[in-house]
Amino acid sequence: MSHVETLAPQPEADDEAYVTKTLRMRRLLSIRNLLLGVGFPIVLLLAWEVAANFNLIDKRFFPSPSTIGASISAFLSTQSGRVLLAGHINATLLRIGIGYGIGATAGVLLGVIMGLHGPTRAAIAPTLYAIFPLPKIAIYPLMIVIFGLGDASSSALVTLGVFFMTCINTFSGVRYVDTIYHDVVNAFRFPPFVRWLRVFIPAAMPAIVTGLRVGLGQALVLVVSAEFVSADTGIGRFIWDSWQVLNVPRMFMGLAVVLAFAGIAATVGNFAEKKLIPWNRR
Amino acid sequence: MSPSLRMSHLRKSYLTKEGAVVRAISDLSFELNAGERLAILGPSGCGKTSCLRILAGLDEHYSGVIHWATNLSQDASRLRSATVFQGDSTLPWMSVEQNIAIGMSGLTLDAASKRKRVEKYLDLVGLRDFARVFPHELSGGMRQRVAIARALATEPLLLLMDEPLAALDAQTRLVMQTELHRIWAQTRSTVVYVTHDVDEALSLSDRLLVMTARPGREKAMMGASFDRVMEPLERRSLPIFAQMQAKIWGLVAEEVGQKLTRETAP
Repeated sequence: MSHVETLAPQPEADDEAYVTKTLRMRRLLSIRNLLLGVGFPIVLLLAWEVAANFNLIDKRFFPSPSTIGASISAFLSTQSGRVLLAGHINATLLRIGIGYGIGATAGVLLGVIMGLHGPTRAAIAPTLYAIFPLPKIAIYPLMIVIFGLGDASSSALVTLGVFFMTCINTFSGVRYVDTIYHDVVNAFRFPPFVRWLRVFIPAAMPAIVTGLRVGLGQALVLVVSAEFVSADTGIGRFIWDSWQVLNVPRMFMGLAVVLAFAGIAATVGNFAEKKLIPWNRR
Repeated sequence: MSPSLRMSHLRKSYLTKEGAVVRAISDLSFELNAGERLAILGPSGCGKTSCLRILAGLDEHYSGVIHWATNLSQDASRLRSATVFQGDSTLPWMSVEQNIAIGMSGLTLDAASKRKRVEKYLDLVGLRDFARVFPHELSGGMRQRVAIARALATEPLLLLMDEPLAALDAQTRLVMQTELHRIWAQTRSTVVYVTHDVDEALSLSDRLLVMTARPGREKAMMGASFDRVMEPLERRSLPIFAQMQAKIWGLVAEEVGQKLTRETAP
């Protein structure tokens, strides 16, 4: 019978070795993935650097990252440079702030009302869905006719884009609330306020938050586009002006600012998701 | 004892999307005494869930008369009926105690009495330690207990259960059957229990209504031949359990068979 025992090793010792080994594998795997994720963009930048130094790409349009970095830090080391950039950033943030504030508020409100009230839904939904696919930048000329050149028209464009995104997401969230929640509120005779504020709107919250997130991305796209076309200030104007005078490092600095905006927006979005829909974590 | 509920000549039809009329229930009548548990069994599509939804107030388009014991249906601190649904019906954005409390939002009750009921039914379903936990942190069986506590907290004239254990695994289901029995023994609620599980119906009811295939009506009404307070596991150990089981299976199988031949016939 002794050979049977050798076939069954001591379970505890075996488990311990297995656990140690698996934990080490997992740790190595996460380190490897982190290195790959960080390493890839570094490799790209290095390739760019090398290509620029060996004149494999046109240095007038694609100066090496080190050159860009040096001129950015030179620009930011002067008081006037910092003031100039801060002015553009403030102008853009103000336009996004106003446009997003109005657009998101109106979008969520109308979305909820459409989900709640059949006649409003029947009246508005077809028009809303018909206009929605229109690229918002295409109606920018119309916005300029109505609001004039400058801040008001670019904020209006942002408002419109954010409104559509949040309205449609909120509406579908409220409209397609799981039928079990309808059964619960009806079977337990919930009063109307409780139905809406404590059941249907929270149930639609994942869709509402998605709308708010996508809307923020949309706002960024629209504000930069609008500033390209008609504005004296803003980060879009900064990028466009730098390009027109062929100051390519400054153009890249503008791009970096837009990327930073997007990164902040994504972080805020993640935070909002954790706060507003903690049960929805996947 | 006066009946707590009398249902007479219930008929229910519905319209399909294509505009065809389907008769779900044809002429169903029964009485239910206070504190009694009635299990409704039948092949799928026999109208048992339709019947339950009508009693729950979720469907107001039917013909027939449902007569409720009036002295209780005028009490604003109790619901006429409360339902435990088949799937997960807890609200994931609320803690366990909030889930139970919100069930009472349609009642006229002061905050202190609500609080008292929440605690009483948390204790009853054994979730006192989980009062502040959210549903996604609970198992399926525990979530169903939350739904049961929410329904019980409205102290309903009639407690409706629509296959409340169907979504649980076999072992949890068995444990929950014992739990449901214990809870009933303490509350003595009047219960209508819809299921397609013959064992469960026999384990948890005082009377059984077997329905025919669609359009559903009464095929048989029989008393479960057990002492009312006898526990599910004890019931199962008696020879009469197997006899009744076989008899009811026979009745249901007849209906399923008929339904199959009707559906396959040209």
